[in-house]
Amino acid sequence: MSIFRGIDISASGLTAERLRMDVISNNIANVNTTRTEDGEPFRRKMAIFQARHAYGQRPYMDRINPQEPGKGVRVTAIMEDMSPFKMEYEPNHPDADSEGYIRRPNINIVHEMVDMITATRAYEANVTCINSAKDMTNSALNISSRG
Amino acid sequence: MFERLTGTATFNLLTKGLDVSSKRHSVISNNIANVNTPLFKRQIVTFEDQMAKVFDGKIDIVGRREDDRHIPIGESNYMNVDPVTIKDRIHVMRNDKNNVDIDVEMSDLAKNTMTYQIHSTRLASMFAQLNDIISRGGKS
Repeated sequence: MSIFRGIDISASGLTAERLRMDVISNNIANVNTTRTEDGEPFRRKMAIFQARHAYGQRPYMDRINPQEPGKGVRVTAIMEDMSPFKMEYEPNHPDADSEGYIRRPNINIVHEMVDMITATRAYEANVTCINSAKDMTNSALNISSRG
Repeated sequence: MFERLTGTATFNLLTKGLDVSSKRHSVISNNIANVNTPLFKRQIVTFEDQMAKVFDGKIDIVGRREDDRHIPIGESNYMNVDPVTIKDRIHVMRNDKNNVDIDVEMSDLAKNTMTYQIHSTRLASMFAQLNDIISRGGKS
């Protein structure tokens, strides 16, 4: 058991939350994007989180011996939200179809803002954890110091 | 030579306390890292209840172990009480089936860090005493 395991676990949380923040920022930046490389409007993207258990390639061990704390979290995939695009009547737009409707991205800006707040707060919680781990390690170092 | 200091119950218990706090910190960190993971179930470390039972002599049945591979039944020696990690699969209050309550985890984290610092400070002062004795022994 490494003394830095606590920091590693929280660092995985920092990485995952930062990546989620990147995905959310990308969604907000593309809230009005009507053209992508495949010809469709931009689709909202989501970071999918998965817990990392302690036993690497042997997940069944977690059932047999649940004593080990997990190894944090990771983003397994960035998936697209397949909900329908928003249709708006805008006949003068170059991307409008023959009936004058334009498809806009399936992004709800309020939803993205709320996700951004949760990501920020979770990031801060992980930072607090790392600071606690540093305090603990420091106090352990003082056990053997003189004076 | 130093057994009278390093072999005492206080010393052993402080060391054990540091081990438990260290493990509990890993578990709490893991819970916090997974606060946004759907279906994740929080883990908790139990230790104090079992330890209190040993000290109060409230163990109902103690199985005698003649081999390390025997399954322990009850425990009468505090040195053999180990922290146990359990998964809380029962309490769920969120729609994503995750049961991490960030307020509970953060307060547990603060408590755990303080406990660790108390134990390490006490341990440090025991060594400081020993240092004092070694450096000043025999001198007036």
